Amino acid sequence: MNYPSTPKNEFYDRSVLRAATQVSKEALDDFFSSNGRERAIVVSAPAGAGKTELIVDAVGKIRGRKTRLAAATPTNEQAFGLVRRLAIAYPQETISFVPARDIELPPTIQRLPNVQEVSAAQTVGRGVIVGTLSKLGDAFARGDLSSTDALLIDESYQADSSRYYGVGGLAPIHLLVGDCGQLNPFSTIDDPDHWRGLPEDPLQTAVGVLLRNHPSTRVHKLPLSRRLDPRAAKVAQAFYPDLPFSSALNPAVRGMRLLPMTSVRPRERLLDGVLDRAAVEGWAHIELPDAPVLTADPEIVELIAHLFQRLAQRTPQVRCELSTSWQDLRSQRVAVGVSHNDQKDVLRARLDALGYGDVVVDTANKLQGLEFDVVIAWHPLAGLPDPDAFHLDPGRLCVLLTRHRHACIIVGRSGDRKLLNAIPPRTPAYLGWDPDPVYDGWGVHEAVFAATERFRISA
Amino acid sequence: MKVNISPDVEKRLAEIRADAAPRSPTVRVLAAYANHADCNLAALGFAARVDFDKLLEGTPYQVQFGQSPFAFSRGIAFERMVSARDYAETLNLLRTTMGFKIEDARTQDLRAKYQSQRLSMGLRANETREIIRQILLGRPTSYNLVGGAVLEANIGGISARFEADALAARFGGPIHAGEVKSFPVVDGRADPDKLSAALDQVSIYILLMRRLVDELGGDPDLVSRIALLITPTNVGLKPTMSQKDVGTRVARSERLLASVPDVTDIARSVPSSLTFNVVADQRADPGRRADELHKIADSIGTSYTPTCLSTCGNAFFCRERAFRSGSPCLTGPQSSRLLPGISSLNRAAALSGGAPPALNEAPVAPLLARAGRLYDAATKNSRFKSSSQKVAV
Amino acid sequence: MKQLDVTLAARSFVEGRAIRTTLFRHRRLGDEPLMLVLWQLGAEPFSLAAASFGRSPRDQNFVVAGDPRNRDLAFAALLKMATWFNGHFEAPSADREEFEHWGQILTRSRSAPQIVVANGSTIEMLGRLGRRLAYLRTDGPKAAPLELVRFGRHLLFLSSHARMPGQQIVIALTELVGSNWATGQSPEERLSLAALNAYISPSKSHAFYEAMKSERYAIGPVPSGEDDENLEPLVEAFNQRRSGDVSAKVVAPLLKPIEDHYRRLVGRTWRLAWDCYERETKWPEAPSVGRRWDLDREAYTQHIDWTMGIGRRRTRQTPRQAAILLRRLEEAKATLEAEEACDDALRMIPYLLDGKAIQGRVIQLDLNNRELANTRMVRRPLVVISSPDPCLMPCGKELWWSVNPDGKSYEVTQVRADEDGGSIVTLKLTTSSKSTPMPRVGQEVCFSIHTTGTVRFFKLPPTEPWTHRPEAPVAEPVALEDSEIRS
Repeated sequence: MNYPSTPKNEFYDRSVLRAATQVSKEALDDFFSSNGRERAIVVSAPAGAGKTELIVDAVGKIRGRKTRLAAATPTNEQAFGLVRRLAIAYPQETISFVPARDIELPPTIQRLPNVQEVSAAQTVGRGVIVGTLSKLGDAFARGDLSSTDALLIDESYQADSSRYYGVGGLAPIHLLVGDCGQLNPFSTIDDPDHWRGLPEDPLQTAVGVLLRNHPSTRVHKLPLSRRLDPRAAKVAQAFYPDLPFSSALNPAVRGMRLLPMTSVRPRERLLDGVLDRAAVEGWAHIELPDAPVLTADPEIVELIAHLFQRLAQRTPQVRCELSTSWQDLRSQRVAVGVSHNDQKDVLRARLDALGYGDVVVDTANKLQGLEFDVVIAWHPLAGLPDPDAFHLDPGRLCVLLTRHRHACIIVGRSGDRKLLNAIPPRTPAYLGWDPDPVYDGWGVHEAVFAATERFRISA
Repeated sequence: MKVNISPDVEKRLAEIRADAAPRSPTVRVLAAYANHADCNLAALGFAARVDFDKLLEGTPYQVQFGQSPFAFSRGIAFERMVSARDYAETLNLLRTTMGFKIEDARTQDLRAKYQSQRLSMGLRANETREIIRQILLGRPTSYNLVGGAVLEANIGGISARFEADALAARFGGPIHAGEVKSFPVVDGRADPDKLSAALDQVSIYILLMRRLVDELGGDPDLVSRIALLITPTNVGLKPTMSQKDVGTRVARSERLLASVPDVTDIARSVPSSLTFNVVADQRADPGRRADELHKIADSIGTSYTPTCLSTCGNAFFCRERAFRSGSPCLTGPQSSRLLPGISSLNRAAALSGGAPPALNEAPVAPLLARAGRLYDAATKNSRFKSSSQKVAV
Repeated sequence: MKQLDVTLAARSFVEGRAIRTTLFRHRRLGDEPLMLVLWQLGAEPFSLAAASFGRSPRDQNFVVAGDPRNRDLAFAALLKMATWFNGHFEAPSADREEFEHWGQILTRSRSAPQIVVANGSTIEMLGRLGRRLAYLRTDGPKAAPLELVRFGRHLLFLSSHARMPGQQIVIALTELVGSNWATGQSPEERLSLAALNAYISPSKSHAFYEAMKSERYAIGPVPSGEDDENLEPLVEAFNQRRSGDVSAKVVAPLLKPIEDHYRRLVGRTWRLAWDCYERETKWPEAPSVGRRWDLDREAYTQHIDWTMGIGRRRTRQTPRQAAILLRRLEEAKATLEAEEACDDALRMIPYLLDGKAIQGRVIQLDLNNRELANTRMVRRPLVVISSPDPCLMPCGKELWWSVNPDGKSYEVTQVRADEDGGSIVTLKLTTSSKSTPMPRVGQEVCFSIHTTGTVRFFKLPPTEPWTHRPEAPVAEPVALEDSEIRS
């Protein structure tokens, strides 16, 4: 890639963009061909596809026809993000946000001139209403929120059937957009599998209950990712067996460079090897030796801390299609993804003590939907004596390995791969529900280990 | 099917087994094996075809895995109902659930046909092979439903035969494997563990059928991933048919069959004097029998977890070994996960009382000490007997 | 399994006996519960082969069916049990009290029955029996007695209410005992009440061997293979002798061998169950039990009123019911965990270990601290705690004082490590209200994530949206007793 002389449109693979545009167009045509009959359209997309873009685009077209819409998301943060995107995209349009009790829009979004926080009763006549599924469902049930012409739902594979129930009657036409590879809805109750396979299961996904009751619903598949470049997409494909996709970027558009340094001590050499590989290949997988360890493995915490220190010493810089000259990598754009709260707590304390308070450290559950430049992923299987459904969950691994735009460094132990040489433990089965999370996850984990083999470095 | 074990390996395995009750690998044995594939004693028993459920009979460690005779007779009664009148009920279910058009269904009950014949499993295996061949050739006289089909497999060098309750084939369509079970489906729900075991069983048959079809020159994908299950529905014995995609279970079964240890390797790797003869000898003193098994366990190693208690006849024995050594595996994998680097429960208890840790215990020690301290503080003012200060190290 | 569990399991292993894990008991345990000991026939999940029921150890009623695969014999035995059960179960509903609920005056029974069983499998069996009996036809040629159908409905209520975290209407002793005692056993082994019990008061030096002996025999409801092997010839002889007759006159004298067989099995479980129950009653009741008992009484009252009124329930839930139940289960679990942790110092320990709570001594109090909120200065009292443990909580984390979990929250504003490996934590009350109770300097306190304040209540629309309605409506199967198992 010949920065900066390359014209901007050569950053993108036009055929991939065309294919995606085609799918988006079909999906929206499908959506608008409804004629008032009750109908839903699903758009399934891999991580970083630009799903929210699609929703923003749909909003514009819906408003162009002078019809009213509600847009809903599972979490508050997702709703905030949607409000902001819509407000910026349509400065002439008033974006009405209906908050749950004790919730407020962040000040930067509240201050946007076309954004208003209103109660459900005040939404009468307003064109664009945004809120969480829970809030809009509750308001609708109480009669405070009147129906709209269209309902758009983002992150539909993370929304559960019971939340969808609340808003199902809000509009006759629905557009459900979501990422089928990330974590599914879950619950803290003792036996969440009680309803598995039954049509009334409140924990099946919103898309799942829709397809179960209305199997003729069309699912449009967006075959691209804008966040993941070709190196990342190749590995991430393992999470989307039913959704072949490509990166929208051409190779070598994303770049990361590190100050060359001489490393003397073996540990430094190791860290440099990992960082250099990550910078060039977009991936690195560092394996500590196999050993029995606690979940909040102190050696991995130290390793991650050292990686940060070495990374900082080598003044990392990045460039990409949005910013063609080399920019310093900002620490807010770096994240560490983990599986457990105690891993997060210990790592947070360690990184804060070293002065990296800006770096995001969180569990996969909290990182869903977010984007960073560089991610360090603490492998879910790291140091486990035997794998179980929680750690094998392909959604967890998917979230951890699809947040990054430039590089992802996976940290684990050499025994992790060997866990998959065993025979998967027997798991309960449910009629009417085909997924076998342990077995499905087993296959995905194996595929990812295979795809990252050439990025592996042993400590 | 020919298996190639050399005569001296066969002889060695017979020596190892001695007079212990034998057991060929059935689907149930194979499924149990999957639970302890990393245990050397289990692998040895499997290879030498020793029935561990009976090995320790007459000692304090004997197990009682026996099935209720009522369970047995319920199963028989249900199977009879399902196969009566040339499988009338089953055909009806195939028609209503799977859309089979069965006007002139051709059925064959291999169990009835070869009932009392010697070597009936081998004959049924041959006939099953021929039946599948006919189906692949698309012969109009080929069967649509076969009961008691027998499939052969090479399990680590031992030939084994597995019997599938049902094999169903629509003319020109895919071949399905099915099982008849007598646990009920109530309001659309079945017991998740029993269902899982049944589906794992069918997935082995699907795997073996695919291999057979492949051997006969056909396309293995003709054997469907959809498993069929016939069970009673609700309260009575009225049968219902359920189906489930078991693609990933078939992959697991493939992995299971591939991981079964080769009997030749096992025979050659164990010490040449090793045999179960004393252990199995019911006339010998139980203490001596146990000691002999301890010697065997010491020499080749075991891998006890509490799940062994429901699948392996040596579990009580191995559990006591774990108990005597204070091994953390006694309390299960979830707790041993919390004690990395801690060699025994005694050490864990000592560390919880504030004992100074060794180097490899350093990560866990503060957590145990803290838990112990908090517990002691909260109970010191109550009427508890809290003798945790003095623990054996 | 958490750090505290494994610590106590290790100590239990070393000491050779169980170790208590709670200072209180967190379930109401009445003086005269309805104890039920059930046995089924192997692999006949809807059969009741034998049962004992009563309200005290000496009040042991006993029935056997003979051959429970025969509907008439099965129902004859079940009817005896139903007649006894229904009377005792329904009696408390006659005595009502009024209470206020969101501005309305409602009534609930002043007390409620408590059913005690040995283990979770017995509750499942109650559910299956309920499923079988509740939908029987009460008219026509094969009419079932009303008592039996009512019994079935009560059993269905018990089986579904048992799922509610913290409920006290159905007590499974393995869960009750298991939640109060740590042993050096795996979770699988702790499912046997006898093995669990062997650890609590072992007579030998180490409970392991006693537990091993206890495991040998079945507690029910599922019999061991050996038990049923002994039973089979008795049932066969019984069937032969009665030659198809199901009248009580003929059957009753022939039941003795079967009764003897079951008396031994049932009797063992009966004694064990009462011993375990009575042992647990000796511990003081936790303060929050009362509130949960109120909810139980309300649920019981609603069930009785429904059953005596319309009566019939669907066999499956609608999506709306399932969604509501999911939220209720989640709320109940969270509230239960909060209440138990705040009531009982031992139950708080896992949260201390997980960094979700901190404990220590108040070393400083600033009641007059002020800060700017919007445009005014407001009072935000500060509490500074010295804790012997490290604290990894981030600033901004919201905590509640464990003696006032339904009150206002405190926010972590500063965490400092001290020289001894402990920490100094500053908390800020998030209100200026002078009526909020506050700790004193020198007081030992605990602050945690647990709050029992008013829960957000999300309503669901009353009608099912088209998304959750199948295209081709599924015929709701109202289950009927179908083909005979045996005659």
